[in-house]
Amino acid sequence: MNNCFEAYQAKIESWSQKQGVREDFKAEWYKAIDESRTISREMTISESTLVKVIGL
Amino acid sequence: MFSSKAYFSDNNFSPFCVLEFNKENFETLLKCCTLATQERISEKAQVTYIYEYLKTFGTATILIESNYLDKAYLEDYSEYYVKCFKKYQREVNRLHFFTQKFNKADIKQLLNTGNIEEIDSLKSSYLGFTTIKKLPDCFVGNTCLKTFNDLDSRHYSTLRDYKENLFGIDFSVKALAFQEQDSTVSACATSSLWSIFNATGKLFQHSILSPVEITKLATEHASVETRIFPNKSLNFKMIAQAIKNIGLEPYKIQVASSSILKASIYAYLKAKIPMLLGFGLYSYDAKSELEIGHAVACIGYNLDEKCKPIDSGSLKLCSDKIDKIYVHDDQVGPYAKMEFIYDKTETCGYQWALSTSYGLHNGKHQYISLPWALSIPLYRNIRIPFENIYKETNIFNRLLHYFTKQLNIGWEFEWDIYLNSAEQLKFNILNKLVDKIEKPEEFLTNSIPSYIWCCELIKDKEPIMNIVFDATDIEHNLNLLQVIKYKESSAGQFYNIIVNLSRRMYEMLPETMYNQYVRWFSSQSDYSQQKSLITR
Repeated sequence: MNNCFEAYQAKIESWSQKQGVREDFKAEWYKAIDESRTISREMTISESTLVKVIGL
Repeated sequence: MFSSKAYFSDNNFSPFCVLEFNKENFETLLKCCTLATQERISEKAQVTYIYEYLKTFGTATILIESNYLDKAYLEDYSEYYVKCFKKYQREVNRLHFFTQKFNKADIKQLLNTGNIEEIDSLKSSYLGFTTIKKLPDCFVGNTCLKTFNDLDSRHYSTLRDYKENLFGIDFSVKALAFQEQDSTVSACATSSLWSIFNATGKLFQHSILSPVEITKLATEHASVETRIFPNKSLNFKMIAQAIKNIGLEPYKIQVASSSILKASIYAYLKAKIPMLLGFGLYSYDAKSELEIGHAVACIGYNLDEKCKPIDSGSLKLCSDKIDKIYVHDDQVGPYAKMEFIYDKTETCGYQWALSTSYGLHNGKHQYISLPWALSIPLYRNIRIPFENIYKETNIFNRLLHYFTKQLNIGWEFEWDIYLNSAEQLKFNILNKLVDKIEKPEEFLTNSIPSYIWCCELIKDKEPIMNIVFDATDIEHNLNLLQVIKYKESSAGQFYNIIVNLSRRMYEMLPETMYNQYVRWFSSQSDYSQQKSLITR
């Protein structure tokens, strides 16, 4: 595992030196934030649901 | 063994009587204990359900305790029935169920000798009880029955011990109380709330109110045009009002996908908190949704390892393995199952639905349920909602996936997200995980909040770490408290990789964009090194 770990660290190191990585990562980050906002919207109970009649 | 019709003829069960458990005896007994007709009893879904449920356990004997005063019914009785012109009986008959075969003479002998071995044997064969009200229709009252425990996949975390003393013998059953709605004083949502409050009353120390009192709390701000009693229906606002008035906070979640429903149910049931699920009913015959919805109390779930996530996106959750939930459905019975259905021929074109035994006719389902929302009663100090933890984890998980893709590493992540009490977490560490995690004593001796969110990261089916968030903090603070690292061979190295990746994320983003995981893990790396990276 030690060898694996070092290999992963090296991979991370060389990846972070690549051109355009920062921009790519930021774009991914914004996508994740957008997804979170959608989750929030979807999980918030709507006014129409709040007044639905429950009484079988 | 007693089964004589003559015994039923005078309807006198005083002070107790004993019957062999079979369908004929059960239905005749209900006819004697209620004001319902034999036809009504035979067609009543709850009666059939309870009979079949008890039959599965191998029930052999019913012991009838007559003239029992049931607290929940007495409140309803004093509020409504006592004021009626017609006289209604305030005492109920309580039916106790046993797997052991015995007759009345056996019980009399037992009570005269006090034989401890025989008493213990009787106690171990106890399955629970149901109270039967002397009413014309909604007569199934307070019912506490044992659950199945033959499978590890079934989880009923909301059960509590009900201790009943009968003739000086202490009987105990692990259950959650159920009763059908008495449509005079309550609606289906009221019955669900009553069951839910039976669990939260013990958990959060509040009083357990009767259905009539719950209806009053729920309708406190109801419109003046609406009658409170007889009560026909509630809505989510009224349900929230009842929860608030009892001293808890109602947390409402719109059910947008099956994954959200599974994740929310799982997250709170793990902390022993039951919840109300409101849904619409789609009729196969009418090919349309009924105008009025239904509510049930969610009290358990079943995990199927083979169950694949359907609509959960990139965030794979342990809760995706839920294939059915167990509910107290006052129109069906206690611990009724509702299965997730994705086959569009069964869901009538909907993306997904839940099965329901409501209206079940000759074994054929008449309806499917289309979930609307959950209403979860929370202790006031549980301030950080599931949504926040779910969102933060979703962001971090997405970034982990992005990195593994970029670095061409084939890691599979799964998350186990649930609310937990400090007490339960420490108990689990000491009793189940003490040799599996690093430095258990450090965590056990640390002071932690009464409620925490646990987010266990599982890589390639091995738990790697349990990331613990404060569930009682304010929303905009850093709620991540601590990470419990597993001793598994790759866990420590993986932790270091996460720290390193988080440091990279930290240097690439403006501070306002940080996610809780990134902030915490990046702070675990050497600060000076981190600082030089940021300013580089």
